Amino acid sequence: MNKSNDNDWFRISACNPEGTRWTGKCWYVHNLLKYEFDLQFDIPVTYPSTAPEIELPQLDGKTQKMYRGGKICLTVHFKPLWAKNCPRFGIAHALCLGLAPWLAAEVPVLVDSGMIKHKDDMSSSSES
Amino acid sequence: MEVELKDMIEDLESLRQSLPDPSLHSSIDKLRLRVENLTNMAKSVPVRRSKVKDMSAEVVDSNPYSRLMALQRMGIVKNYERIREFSVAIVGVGGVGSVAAEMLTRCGIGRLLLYDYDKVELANMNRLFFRPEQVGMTKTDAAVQTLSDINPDVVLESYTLNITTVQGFDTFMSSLRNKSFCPSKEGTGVDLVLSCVDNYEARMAVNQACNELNQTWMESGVSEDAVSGHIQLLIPWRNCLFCLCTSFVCVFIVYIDSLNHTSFVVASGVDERTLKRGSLCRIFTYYNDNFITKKYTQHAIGGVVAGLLVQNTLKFLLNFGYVSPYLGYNSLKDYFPTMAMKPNPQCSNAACLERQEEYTLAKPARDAAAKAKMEAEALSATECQLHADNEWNISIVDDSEQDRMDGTSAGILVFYFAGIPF
Repeated sequence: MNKSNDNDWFRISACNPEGTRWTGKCWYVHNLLKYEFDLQFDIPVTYPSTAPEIELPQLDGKTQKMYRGGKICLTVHFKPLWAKNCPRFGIAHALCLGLAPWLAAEVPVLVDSGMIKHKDDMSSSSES
Repeated sequence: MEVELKDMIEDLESLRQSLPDPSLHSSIDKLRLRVENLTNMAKSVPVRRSKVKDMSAEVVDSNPYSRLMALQRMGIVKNYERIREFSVAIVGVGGVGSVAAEMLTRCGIGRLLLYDYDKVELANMNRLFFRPEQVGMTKTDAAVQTLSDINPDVVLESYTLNITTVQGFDTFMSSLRNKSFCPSKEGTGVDLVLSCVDNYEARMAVNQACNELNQTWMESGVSEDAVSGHIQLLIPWRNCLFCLCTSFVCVFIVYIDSLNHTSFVVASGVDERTLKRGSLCRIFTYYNDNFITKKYTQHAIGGVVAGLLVQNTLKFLLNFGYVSPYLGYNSLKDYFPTMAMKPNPQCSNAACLERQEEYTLAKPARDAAAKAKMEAEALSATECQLHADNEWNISIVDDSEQDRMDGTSAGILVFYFAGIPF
């Protein structure tokens, strides 16, 4: 439904047959420009009692709200929710309730502060 | 360098002779003295001590274990040399783990296994152990470098991996299970696992591994604001087991928080009722202090927690004193809460329930053993009372009776009595 309405905002696929590692893309539209990032995470051994740690390696070091290696900070907004609903929560919840609010909060700040640039801007600036 | 310095002395000498003005001679002599000092310093290159085969109790300055073996002579520890038979795994070589590793290395522990996936950074310099020149090395490699210099007798194994990933967890499990270093304990794995990690996921992974392997372990942690910490002994089949498993997580964390919370109330003097429920969010950061702790942890609190952890470890391994099941520390009020935990019979972790069942099944045999031990102790106690006559009417008085005489309640000890002038 989201896909047909062009409301989708991520694509993931398992990158090993056991399904313990997932990679893909996620994107966020800010001021009618689409910002796309690589997305990856491991399913922890203690899953589902602990949530997967979602990583956006391209943004590593660009924001304070991130742990080492591009793991986004889920501590305050998502971990309590996960613990409350455990073991019913899964990957979809982690993406929708963990990653989506993070992108919505962080991407505009990053764009406004100039930490990330839209890919069209980057290519035009390198051409000129 | 020595050659260079020697040349310099010769140059100075020729300069002194060529100078006609004798008033400059004294300053040249001073320079010469300084160069000679430098030469001496260059000669004393760091000496790496050779391995020691047996721990000797001989009190000489050259014996690295003389001060430790004194514990045995003083009757604290029955057999200190046994420490060389033990292997300990340290998960997380950070503010607490690295200090604990150094302490155990200096104690002469047999084998240390170190697990971490991080690299040393300049931001780590506010804590003990790592040196600025080690920046960029993996924490495990840097630790092995320093520790093998301090005590070459210790067998060090380093694992640079993330134990929460499936692959890392498997390696972690297999490294705990086998490969023992001394022939008499082949295949017995490790004696104790110390969890010195800074996040909840890794704690859960250690808990899972230890439940599956029936491995005793100790937990440690520093709070996000670096004013409190705790250590905890966990035995997967005994009553002091503190089950960290899924259904129990909330209870566990809230419980821990209530402790810190209490200590917060104790420390700040705020009425507990005025605190918002919102502080519950902090409990998660307490366990997931990755982000915040990395900024504010300083060496004092890390050192304190590592010290408590290693002391509890030594008591557990060498079998002396009372091994605390839980010991907290709040530095603002110097408050040390202790408690014991029981396992959760409704735990959703299969491995945990299995351990609990094993424990219940073995109960009659254990009770019988405890009873036999008590009887043996009672027997030896009666043997000690050899005085037939009691000419001076000496009797044994219970300590607790005396304490209550001055109106305090049970459990409160009086340090100073009224009337004693200071």
